[in-house]
Amino acid sequence: MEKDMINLEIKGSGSSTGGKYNTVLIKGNGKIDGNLDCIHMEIQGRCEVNGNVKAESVKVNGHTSIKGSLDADKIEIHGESDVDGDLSVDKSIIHGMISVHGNFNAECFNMEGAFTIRGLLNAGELELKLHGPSEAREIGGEEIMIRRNGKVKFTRLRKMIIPLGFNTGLTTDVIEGDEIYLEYTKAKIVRGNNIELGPGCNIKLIEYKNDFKQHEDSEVGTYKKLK
Amino acid sequence: MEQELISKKELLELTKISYGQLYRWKRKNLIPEEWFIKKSTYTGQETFFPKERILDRIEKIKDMKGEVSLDDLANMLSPNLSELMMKSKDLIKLDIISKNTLDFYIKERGKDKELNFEKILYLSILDNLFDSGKINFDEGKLILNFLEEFYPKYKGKNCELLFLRKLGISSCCLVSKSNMINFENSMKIVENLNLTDLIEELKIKLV
Repeated sequence: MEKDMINLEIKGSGSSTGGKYNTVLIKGNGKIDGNLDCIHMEIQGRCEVNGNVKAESVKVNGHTSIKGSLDADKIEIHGESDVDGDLSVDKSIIHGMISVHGNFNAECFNMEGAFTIRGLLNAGELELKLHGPSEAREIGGEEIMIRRNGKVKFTRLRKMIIPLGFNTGLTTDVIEGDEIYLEYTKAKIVRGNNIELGPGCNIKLIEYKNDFKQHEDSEVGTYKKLK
Repeated sequence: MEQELISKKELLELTKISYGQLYRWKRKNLIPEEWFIKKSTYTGQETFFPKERILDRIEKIKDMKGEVSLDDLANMLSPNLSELMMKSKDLIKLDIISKNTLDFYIKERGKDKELNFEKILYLSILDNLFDSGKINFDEGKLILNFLEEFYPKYKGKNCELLFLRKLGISSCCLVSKSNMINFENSMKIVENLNLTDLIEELKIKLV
């Protein structure tokens, strides 16, 4: 921690330019124009950053929108976040919604909620509990675990509002990993060492190395074992 | 510069690594983004790699990952120049450059006690070329001047150095990777050095 770095605090509503800070704290509504480089960033409320963010840790309770890329060791999001560029973190905990226009790289990605990733989702450990329709172009990693965890009441209510045919699970082109468990996932190709499908999957092609299990409520086009 | 491609599936079969490893190395930037080439096939989009380079890279990673951490490895393999300084004596001792090349450099630029990585790179390029007998000292001067002026613009990017000769007149140019370049027939490409590979080799030798 460098001594001459100052803190940035916005309480209420305000805006600031980017720069190097120790701690960035926003309670209320903040807007930052420019790149932000800080140790710790905490947002309670709403924040918009017109630039890239680099931080050791980022904590969001509320809504953030970053027009550039986000690079952090640890992020914790309760609420909603939009990142227009790439998102790279070591550890991320997300409760809520996240949308990333670029690629999402994480060593450990733990999430409850829904996401949209336009690029590649690349994670060492991936544990997703989906509450709503999610989307990624491609998913790759070591351990991939995707479950749907919508509360029963909630899904029923949604079914009343949004009629059938609306997809509540995950849609993606390709999933590739070592250990894979999927629920309510629609994909063109799934490749891995050990693959287990829970209920509600629709997958065109499965290629596995060691082991493949399929729930009776899942549809699979073709599957083959690779030597 | 058409290169042979290998599909992701074939690559994994051939090298016996798993998807997880491949993705982890990608995350750590051990495999550059531009090597992932998307192509349409009958199963949809597939990823392909430049065959020779990726096989070489994976061999290297497998060889070294026991000894150094992935982060250090990424550092070594990236085309960014490291902030390393070396004494000229040590360079000769480590057999990175020959005494002739160093003498040439001292004659041209005066004596430096310590050389930074950029200079070491220039010297090893010259050393390479002198050693193979492809250039003479005058041409060495040309290349040194050229690199000092233009290489900094290519810093951190993949690029190749071409040394050309036509009717006894020599010239050189830098080409950033993946660009097509063609010359008429009477132009001889005397040497084509891939600087990224050279930087990699140098870093491994120096560390």
